[in-house]
Amino acid sequence: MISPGGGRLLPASIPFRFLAAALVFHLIGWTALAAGAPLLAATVGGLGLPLAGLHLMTLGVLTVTAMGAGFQLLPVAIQADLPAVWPCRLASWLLLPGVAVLNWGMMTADLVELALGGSAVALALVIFAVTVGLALRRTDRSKPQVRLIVRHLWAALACLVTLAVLGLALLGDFAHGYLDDHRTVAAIHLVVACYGFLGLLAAGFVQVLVPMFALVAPQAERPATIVLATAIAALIAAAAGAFVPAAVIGLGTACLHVHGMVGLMRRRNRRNLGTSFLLVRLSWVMLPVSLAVGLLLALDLLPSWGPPLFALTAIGGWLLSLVLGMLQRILPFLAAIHAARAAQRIPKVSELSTGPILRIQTSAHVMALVTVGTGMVLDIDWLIRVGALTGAAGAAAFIIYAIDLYLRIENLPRARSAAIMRKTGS
Amino acid sequence: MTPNTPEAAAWDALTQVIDPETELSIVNMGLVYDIDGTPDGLLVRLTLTHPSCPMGELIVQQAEKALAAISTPACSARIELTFDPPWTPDLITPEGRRQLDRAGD
Repeated sequence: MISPGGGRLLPASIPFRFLAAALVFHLIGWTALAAGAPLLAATVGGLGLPLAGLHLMTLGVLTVTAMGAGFQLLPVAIQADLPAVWPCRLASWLLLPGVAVLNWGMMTADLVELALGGSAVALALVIFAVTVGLALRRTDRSKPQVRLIVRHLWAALACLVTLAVLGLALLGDFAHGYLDDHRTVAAIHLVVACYGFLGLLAAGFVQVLVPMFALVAPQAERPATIVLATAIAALIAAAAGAFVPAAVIGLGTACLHVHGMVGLMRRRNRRNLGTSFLLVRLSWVMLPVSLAVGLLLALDLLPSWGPPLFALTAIGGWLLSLVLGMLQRILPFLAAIHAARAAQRIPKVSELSTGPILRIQTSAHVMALVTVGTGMVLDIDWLIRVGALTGAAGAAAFIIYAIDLYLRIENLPRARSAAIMRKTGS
Repeated sequence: MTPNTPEAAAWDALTQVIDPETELSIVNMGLVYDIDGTPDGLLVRLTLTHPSCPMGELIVQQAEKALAAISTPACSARIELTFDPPWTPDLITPEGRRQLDRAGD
């Protein structure tokens, strides 16, 4: 008998430690942005609260989620086992404290903490790349959907190694000042992180997750591969410092990708996809918007609020909206699977979803993006602070949801025992 | 009404197995391809929405439980998991589509 994908699930503690940490970093990230509001509108890089807030989102939320969800779902999606479970645990022990120490170092400009945190994070990223890379070598390439995901993952892993090397070079430059053009290297690091590692990983994931949740046949292999190829061309241009051609090619690629996703949504059999897909749809709008802002920035047509607005649209608008939307869907889904293993009953995913809290979180996220963006453009510090605090409130709502989810799972076996006791009259 | 053949009883039993994500029965999802009477008992050909569906192992377990409940010493049932042909959303039954249209999140 062919083994279904559930047999490749890791122990629940591994994915959930990453996802729980991501939710906490999400709250701290918005709080740091609120605290650094006066510095945010015209930040040009350098150590301080804005840089820490940025990395709390990119590393703390997006990369930590990518790693947790990746270790759990990638072997299932590519139908190949990870070489071992211990590298997943080791990566968590390095990454989670590493992100905390690195961001503290960025906030306080402490070079020792930067070195320690940066090294731990880089090592965790290498472990992730090697572990996933070994699994990718075991895949069966005869299946078109697997081939498509595998191509996205190889490209994402290449970007991961590049961004880790650039990140370490930038950290070293804070101490030794050997880079001729720190800002350009930082811009390449940001582009490779957002559109390379995280973007290509997300583009690979949605090829599986959107058809699965929306009940629709997946995208054809050829158009999705063309999109991937043009995305790689844009990234190579960006890595060479040619930001204008990179943004133009990237914008075209983004429109093609979104067109493909809209096609999937039009053909879907499941009409109501809940608040999670409001965020996913928002992310598809914000992807080309971020690249349009990036193009204007590359053409030097934006004032001082251009760089932070680009970061807001790309990281907050596109990636964070996508990750939060997918997390709203994946958390109860994974919880249902792991709960079923413990309770010998499969709870319905809707039993584990709490609509009002997720609606509050979604609304707060959207309001935060709009308010912070408006505050940046109008250069109003208090508006940026209000927006960031709204984002923090949304992050707190998501943590409450996660705690509620955990308690529901914990109560499942007990509820079953109680029902049996009532039935037997004991 | 009590099903009058082992095959009908098996279809009925599998109607009680719910896909936790869509909340449709696996019959309405079109995951049960066919149920054949063989000299060894019933052979149920079952598929999943995707070969790597994370829920797959649990759905198969639930289907095995449901079939065990209607099995007799004279007529047992076994499941063959197949991906030929692969599942597509076109296999969702009209009743399944109606339930999806009505479903809220």
